[in-house]
Amino acid sequence: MRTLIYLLNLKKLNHYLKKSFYIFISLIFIYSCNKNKKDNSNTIIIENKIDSINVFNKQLNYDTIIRNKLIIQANDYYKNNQLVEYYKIYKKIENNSTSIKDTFGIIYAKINLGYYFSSKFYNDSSYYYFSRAEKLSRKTKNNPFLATILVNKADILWGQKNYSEAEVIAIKALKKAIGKKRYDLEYSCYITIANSLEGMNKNEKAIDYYKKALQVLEENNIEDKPSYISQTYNYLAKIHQKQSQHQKAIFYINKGFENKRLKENDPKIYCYLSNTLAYSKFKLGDKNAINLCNETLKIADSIQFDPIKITSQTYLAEMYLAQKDTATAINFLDKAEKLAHKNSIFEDELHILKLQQKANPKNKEFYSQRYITLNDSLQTVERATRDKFARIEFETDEISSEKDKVEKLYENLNTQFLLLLGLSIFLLTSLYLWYKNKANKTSLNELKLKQDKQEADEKVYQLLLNQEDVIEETKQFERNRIAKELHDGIMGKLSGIRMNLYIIKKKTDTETIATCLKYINDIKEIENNLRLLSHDLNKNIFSTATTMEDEINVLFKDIKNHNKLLFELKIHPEINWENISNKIKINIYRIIQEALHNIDKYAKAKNVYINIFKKDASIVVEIIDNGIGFTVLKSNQGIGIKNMEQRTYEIGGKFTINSEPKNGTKIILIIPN
Amino acid sequence: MDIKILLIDDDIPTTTGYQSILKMNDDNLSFQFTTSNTFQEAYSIITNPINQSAFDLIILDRSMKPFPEKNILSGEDFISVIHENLSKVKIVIITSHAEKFSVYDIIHKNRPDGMMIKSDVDDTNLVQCVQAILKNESYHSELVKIALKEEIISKGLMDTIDRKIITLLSQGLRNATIPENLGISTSTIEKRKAKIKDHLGINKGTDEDIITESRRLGYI
Repeated sequence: MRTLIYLLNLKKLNHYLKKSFYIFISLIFIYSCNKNKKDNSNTIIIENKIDSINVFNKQLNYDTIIRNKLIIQANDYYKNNQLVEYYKIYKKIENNSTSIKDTFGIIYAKINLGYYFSSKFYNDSSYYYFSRAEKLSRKTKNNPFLATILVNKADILWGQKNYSEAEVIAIKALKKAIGKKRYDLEYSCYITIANSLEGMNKNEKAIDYYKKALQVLEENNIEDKPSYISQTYNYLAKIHQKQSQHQKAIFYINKGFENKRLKENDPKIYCYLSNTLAYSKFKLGDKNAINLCNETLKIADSIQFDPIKITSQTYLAEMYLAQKDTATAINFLDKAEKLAHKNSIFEDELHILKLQQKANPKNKEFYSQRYITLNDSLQTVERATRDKFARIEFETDEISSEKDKVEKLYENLNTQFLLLLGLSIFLLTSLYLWYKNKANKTSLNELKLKQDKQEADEKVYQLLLNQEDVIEETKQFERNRIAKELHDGIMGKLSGIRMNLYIIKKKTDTETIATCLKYINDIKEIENNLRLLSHDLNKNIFSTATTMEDEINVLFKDIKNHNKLLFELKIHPEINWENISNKIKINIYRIIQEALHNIDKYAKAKNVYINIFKKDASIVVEIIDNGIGFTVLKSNQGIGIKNMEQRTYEIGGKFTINSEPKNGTKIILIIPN
Repeated sequence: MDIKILLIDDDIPTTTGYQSILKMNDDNLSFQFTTSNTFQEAYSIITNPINQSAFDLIILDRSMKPFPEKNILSGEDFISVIHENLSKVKIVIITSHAEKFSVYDIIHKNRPDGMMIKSDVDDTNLVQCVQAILKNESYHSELVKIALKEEIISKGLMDTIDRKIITLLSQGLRNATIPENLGISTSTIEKRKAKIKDHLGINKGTDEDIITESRRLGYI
C-alpha cells in the first residue's frame, strides 16, 4: 500500500510536468507559427520583457496581436522557469482580454493560469481556472481548448484521488481530442484514463488504455514522441510491478530503455524507468538493485529533482531494510522525509512514515502517531479539496448560470431595451418625420399660399399696372391717333382744299367758282371728323369696367338718328375680351363708331345689324345696314372709309366693304387675334 | 414742251390742288399730270418699263396707306423704289409733318431733290419748287429750312440714335422696349438720355420733359 501511494505520487508529478510542458508546447505551436525557433537566451527574454512592459506601460490598445506577442513572452518565461513573470503576464492577458472581450485570449490565459497554480500544487486554484476556462470554452463556438482543459481537470481530479470523476472527464476530453485529431491530447487522455483506472484498481483495463496510449504515439508523429513512449512503458511496468508481475515490469522497462537517447534528452523519465527497474529487480532478489538505485539518485541529484530523489531514497531505504541495514535505511528515510515534507509531497511523506515505523521499532508509536495525524489531515484535506472542487464546479456553474442568468437578463433587458430604444427611436423618428413632413407640408402649403398670394398680388399688381399701362397706352395711342388724324387727315385735307382754292386769286369765272364751291362739302366733312376727334378726346374708352357690348350700345345711342333705327348687336359670348389687346378693341370700337356715323349720316337705313363672332382664331366684325348703299370706288373713298381701312390695317386685319346702290352696305372686318 | 409730273397723294383734293396751282403759273409752263392715290398704283406705274422716262418729276406724299407687299411703308421707302427704277427722275416729297427730326432724316437719308411741308405749300412756292428742281437745284420749303438749320442736329450733337430715342419716347414706348427697338443696352439708353437732356438744357427731368422740350423745339 505504501509503495502504491508513493508510486502514484511520483507518477502524478512526472505525468503532470511532462504533460503540461507538452500541452504548452503545442499551444505555442498554435500561436507562434511566425515565431522563429525558440531562443532561450536571456538577452532576448529581457528585451522581450522590456517590450512587454513597454506595451503595458504605454497602455497601447490591447489587441490580439499584442496578446499573441505576450503569450510568446510568457512561454519564454516558462521555459526559463520564471514562473512568477509567466503568471503575471497571463494575469494581464486575462484582464486585458476580458476588457476587449477576446474570449480566445481569456480562455488561453485561464488555461495557463491553471498550469501555473497546478505547478505550485494549488490544485483548487488550478481547478478553478480550468473550470472557468471550460465554461467559457463551452460557450464559445468550436469549444477552443476544451480537450486540453478537460484533460487537465481530469489530471487534477486524479491527483485528488477522485478517480471515477477523473475518468469520466478524461473520457470527455478524449472524445474532443479525437474529434479534433489532437493526438497529443489523445495520448494524455489515455494516460489519465489509465491512471484513473489504475487508481480504482481496474488494472487490466488500465493496461488496455496504456497500450492505446502507446498505439497513438506509435501511429502518429508527436513531438518528444520517444520520451512519451518511454514514459508509457514506465506506467505499464509500474502497473505490473503493482501486481507483483516483476518480469513483465522489467520487460516494459527495457522497452522504455530502447530509446537510447533518453538519458540525454529526458533524464527524469530515464530516472523513473531506472527506479522502477531497480525496485522490480529488488523484488526479484537482484542485488544489482541497490547500485541501480544509487545511480538513479546521483542523476536526480545532478538535475536537482526532488521527487525522483525521494523515490530513489525511499527504494534504497526499503532495500537496506530488507538487508537489515536499519541504520542506512533510516538515514535514507530521514533524507526522503525531509524532502517530501519540504516539497509538500504528503503521499510520499506518509509512505516514508510507514517505513520509519518498520525501521524504528522503538519509535514505532511516534511514527504511527505522526502517520495517523498526517493521514487524517490528508484525508480531511482531500475531502475538503474534493468538496472544494465540487464547490468550485458548482460555483463556476452557478457563477456561470448566475452570469448566464444575469447575462440573459441583461440580454433580455438589453433586447428589451434595444427593442424599446429601437421602438422609441422609430416612433420618435416617425413622429419627427411626420411632424417635419407636416411642418414641411404646412410650410410648403404656407409657402405655396404665400407664393399664390404673391402671384395673385403680382397678378393684381400686374393687372393694375397693365390697366395703368393700358390706360396710358390707350391715351398715348389715342393721342397719337388724333394727332395723326389731325395731321394726315384733317390738315392734309385742309391743305388740299386750300391748294384748290388758290385758283380764285386768278380766275373768278363761274366754272372756277363752281369747282371751288365743291370744297365746301369737304370742309364740312372735316368738321365732322373734328367733332369725332374732340369727342374721342373727351372720352376715355375702356378705362372703366365696361364691356364691348355696353360701349357699342353707347356708341349707337350717340348717333343722331338712333331712335329711327332698329339696332341689333350680337356678340358671341365665347369671345374673351379681356384677352384681346386694347389696340384691337379700340380699333374695332373706332371702326364701329365710324361705320355708325356713316350709317347715321348717309345710309338712310332702317335696320343696323352688328355681329361679332369668332371664326378660327380670328374675330369677325360684320356691320350691316339696309340703307341706300353706294358705289364702292377706291378713288371716291371718303376720309371715314379710309380711316376704317387704315385702322384695320394697323391691327393686322382685313377690311372689306360691300355696297351697291339701294342694296345697303356690309362692312366685314377679319381681325386675327 | 410739257413738264411731265407724277402726283402721288392719297388725298384727291391735294392732287387736284397741286394741278390747279401748277397750271396757273405765270411762266407759261405747261404740264402733263399723272395722278396716283395709293403706293400700290404708283408702284405699278413707276415699275412699268413704258414709263421708264415718262416723268420729269414725281411729287410724293410721305404718309400714305402702306403697301407691305413691296415693303413700302412710307414715302421714304417709295423714294428708294423710284431710285431703283427711274434713275433720271426728280423727286419732291411733300409731308404734313414738320418735325425737325423726321425732316432732317428724310433729307439726309433719302435725299429727295425737293422737300416741302404741306402747310408751307401755296400758289407760289410749289411752282418755284418745280422750277428749281428742273434746273437741277434743290428746293426746301421754309419749315424744312428751319429744320435743317437746327444746330443740335446739324452740328451732330444728337445722332441718329439719340433722335430715335426721343422719337420712340414721344411715341409712348416704355424704357423697357426702347433697347429692343434700337438694339442697344438699357445703360446706353440712360447715358444717351442724360446727354439728350444736357443738349436740351434740361437739368433734371423725366422722359416726359424730354418729350415736352423736344416738341417745343419742334424736333418731334
